[in-house]
Amino acid sequence: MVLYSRDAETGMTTILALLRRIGLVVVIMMLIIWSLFPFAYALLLSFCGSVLPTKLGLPAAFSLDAYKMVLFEDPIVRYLVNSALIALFTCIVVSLISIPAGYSFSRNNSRGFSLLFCTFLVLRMLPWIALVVPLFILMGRARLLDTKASLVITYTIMQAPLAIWLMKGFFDTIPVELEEAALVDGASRLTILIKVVFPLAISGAIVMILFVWLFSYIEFLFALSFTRMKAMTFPVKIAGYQSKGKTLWRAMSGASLISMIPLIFLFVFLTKRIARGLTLGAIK
Amino acid sequence: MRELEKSTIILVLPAIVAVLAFTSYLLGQAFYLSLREYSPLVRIDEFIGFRNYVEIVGNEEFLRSILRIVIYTGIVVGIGSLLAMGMALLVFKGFRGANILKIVIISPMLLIPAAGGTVWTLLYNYEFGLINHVAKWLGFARISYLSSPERAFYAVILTDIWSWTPLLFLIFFAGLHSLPPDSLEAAEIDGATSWQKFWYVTLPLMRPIVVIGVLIKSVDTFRTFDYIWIMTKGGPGGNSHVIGTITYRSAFRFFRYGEAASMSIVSLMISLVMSMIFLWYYTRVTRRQV
Amino acid sequence: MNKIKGKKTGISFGCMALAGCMVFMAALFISGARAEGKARTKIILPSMMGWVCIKPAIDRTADFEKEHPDIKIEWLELPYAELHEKQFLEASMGAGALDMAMTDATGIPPLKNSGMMLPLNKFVERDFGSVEAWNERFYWLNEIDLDGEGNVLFVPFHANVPFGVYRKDLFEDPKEKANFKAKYGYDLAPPETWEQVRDVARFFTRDLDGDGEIDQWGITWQAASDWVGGMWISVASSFGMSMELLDEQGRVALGVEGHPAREGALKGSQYWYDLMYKDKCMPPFLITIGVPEQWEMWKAGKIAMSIDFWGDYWAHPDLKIPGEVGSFVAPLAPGATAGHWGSWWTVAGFKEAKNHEAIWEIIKWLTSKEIQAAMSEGSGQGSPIKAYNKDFMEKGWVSESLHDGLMHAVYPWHVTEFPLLFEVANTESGKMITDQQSPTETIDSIAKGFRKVLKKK
Repeated sequence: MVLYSRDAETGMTTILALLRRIGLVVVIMMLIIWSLFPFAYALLLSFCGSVLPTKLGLPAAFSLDAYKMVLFEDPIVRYLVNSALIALFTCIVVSLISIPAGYSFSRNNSRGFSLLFCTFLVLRMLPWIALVVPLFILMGRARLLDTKASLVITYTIMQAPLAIWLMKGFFDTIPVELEEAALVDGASRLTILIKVVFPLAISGAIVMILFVWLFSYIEFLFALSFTRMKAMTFPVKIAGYQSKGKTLWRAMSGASLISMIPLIFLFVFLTKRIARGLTLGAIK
Repeated sequence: MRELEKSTIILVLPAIVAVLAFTSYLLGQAFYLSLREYSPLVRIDEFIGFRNYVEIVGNEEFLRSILRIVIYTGIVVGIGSLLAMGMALLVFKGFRGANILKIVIISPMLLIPAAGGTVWTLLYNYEFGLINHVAKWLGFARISYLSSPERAFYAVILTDIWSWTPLLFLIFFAGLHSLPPDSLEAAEIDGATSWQKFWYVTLPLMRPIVVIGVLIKSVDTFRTFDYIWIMTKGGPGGNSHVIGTITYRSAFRFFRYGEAASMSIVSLMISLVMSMIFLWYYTRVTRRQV
Repeated sequence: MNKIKGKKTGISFGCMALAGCMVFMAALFISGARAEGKARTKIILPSMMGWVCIKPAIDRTADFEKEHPDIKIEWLELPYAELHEKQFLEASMGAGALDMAMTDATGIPPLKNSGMMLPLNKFVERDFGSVEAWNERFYWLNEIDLDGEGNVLFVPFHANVPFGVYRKDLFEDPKEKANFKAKYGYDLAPPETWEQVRDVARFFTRDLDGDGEIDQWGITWQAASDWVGGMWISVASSFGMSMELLDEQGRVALGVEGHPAREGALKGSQYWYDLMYKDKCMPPFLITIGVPEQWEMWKAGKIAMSIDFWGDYWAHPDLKIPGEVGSFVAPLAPGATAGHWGSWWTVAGFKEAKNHEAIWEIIKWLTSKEIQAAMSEGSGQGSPIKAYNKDFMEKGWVSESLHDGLMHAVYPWHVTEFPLLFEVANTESGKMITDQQSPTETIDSIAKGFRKVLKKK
């Protein structure tokens, strides 16, 4: 990698510049190692043969058994599907709730509404463990344990506050003047909403949906408590690989790596927007 | 305007009913449960008033788990934000390959927490873990991590730092991008060193973003459950339980729903205080921006 | 202008990402839906994740389904602790998510007392004559009335006692034998007393590459945090900790000075504590050694000997018994009145399940000679059915000593709170093996935890 820094261009003494450059390279190398070494080791283990390496170095033999297992023998695909579908349904329900709510909070600045809005912020900060026991009992009574519906309901109440917050932020960036102009033209409130405001908010809604999808996809606590089999999600499955049972280290590493695939697509799109989303729009 | 008010109220109703009312109902249920001894496994269900609270306040394990989550949050957020700020400044500086470095830095987020926990469990293994392999190769003695009562907790913290620092990095990086470039240029013209530039120009300008990022990260870290549960199950010997895991254990290992509910009410109180601090700061900052 | 353009690319990019995700999920969904198959009675049968003993049965599911075209078995593999947790919750909430239960000794009492389990008497009487004749076939069933009312609720398909396992290549090496004899004065052989276990463990604990760190451990058990309590109970019981939970006055026996249960538990705990921290022939990172770790360590040649439950673990394809690995009955301490913790794995049905006949067919199939033979041959497990076990011994699939062990075994605490006691034992014995408290403190704190759970003085 060829590196240059602006300082070097401005003509500092060459030795100092060289030292800085070496320092920079070292720091960057360390960052790369720090970020990537777990992936590298997981990759190595997933291809490892019968005996795991007991010292630094390559394993004695390689095999594809781990991938054979997670793809064919005990396919993790089923659990990935569960995770993905539950997250998708959550997205749909959350959008139905949060887009209108976000619009309202953006357009109505009365005192009552601001207070209500703050309440939703408090919900965003709720410790989820507080909901586990009552929700669990409720789901048990409603015979909803081990159904996708139980998780969709749970994730909806978990993610909706964040989604409302995001949507408010997006609607805030759409000028009210557009609506007022349409109102003068004689359009009804509903028409304005559907024809003028929502189309402009689509890009924001997509970001919101991807966020909700991501957080529902990786959720562990409720999935662990509520699912048995039909609705078991991927995080629960992979945590279960670590058990009194069989040698599943290789499969575990392989499955971890496979689970990253859907997220790669997501992050390509989200990287720039994630910061804004997570700070509740504090970064404009 | 009346019409606007009416339509906005209708539009916000679903959120109020489905989220606010439902969550309040659940929290009410949790409080009601916390006043009972309820354990369907051994068929106990009776009202006992505040005895659950008295018991958990006298429970050393529970008090320690509160202390531990405070330490956990402090370390993860503290070290995480220093690291994230460093990385953000480095990438923001801009050099050839900075974009690639950015992708590398955020790559830990690709590993979902459950998978991250299992992969790090392998890394920490005494006989087969990479960390001990490297230690041995460098000539150091091998160390047990997740099996050591002193180190297990901090080993989990390191994992959390590894996987969620990229988030703070993204927040800080976006914050750096949103700074007005002319103020930095002015400082450069005045001949400020890069350290002075950071300390006197960048940091004060970024303060709202840093504080909000840190506060939100603290709240999120406060409710951590997955890494500890996956990597140590609160062990060895209950030495890495935090408030989330100990509540979970009480509910789903001991089947004492009443006790678990009272524990979760305590954690609710703590996080309410945290969100109040956040709310106060957030409204102050956003109002000033407007 | 620029802003709008940016927004547009944003929209199209987002749509693309969404569409991509949709296609991904649709593909996954279709592949998942195809696997669902036709409408039949689906029976959800939980089992322990990755367990070798049950694997031969799982592999033969297709045969069963061919014979019974109207039944489909859905195996639900869960980690040990979660398996129990979820079945208890099923029984206490009646959620209808599971049709059958699979449990070891810890799970039987609470499941039984929930009143949610299906009595199998009418099926037993129909197919096997009488309940007595049925009970007589199994190792302990005739001694223990599981229900208090003579109902058949749980049917064992796997029998277990603690065993020792050792590496034959080390034990049969003439050089090692000579050295051992010179050092300890008797022949190196599978140990018969706990003192010999200690000698052998000390002898084989070695630093092979001379870097000051031990690379070959004399002895291990698998003590991963979910299971360490079970191992503790079983090793303490081999030291004479009787399976009495309460003394005559209704106090927790472990907390009563001079009670045989307490004495045995103290002796056993002290023995293991010494092996770990005085003789240093057990790895100090024992608490992270589960089955996977232990297997990997065996294969990498890091362990000379292990104490463990028979058949569960030693049937890895690489460690075929008899083969490179030998086995012996875990010794009993001199004067120990009780035997080892004998454990079953049993299957049972939930009352709420739709098709009781299907459940009985599955139970009959699991305890049939064909499947029992497959499980013993495939994994070396002991069959809980005495007659089968004798046949399998002749074929060399299970060792003679297993039968003796099973005959002497005792059945542990038969109280609803057993799983909760187990969890207490997990935490406290975990503290002992990580050297946070002495054996005496451990027994005291276990007794204290038991008192809290049982609400006793």
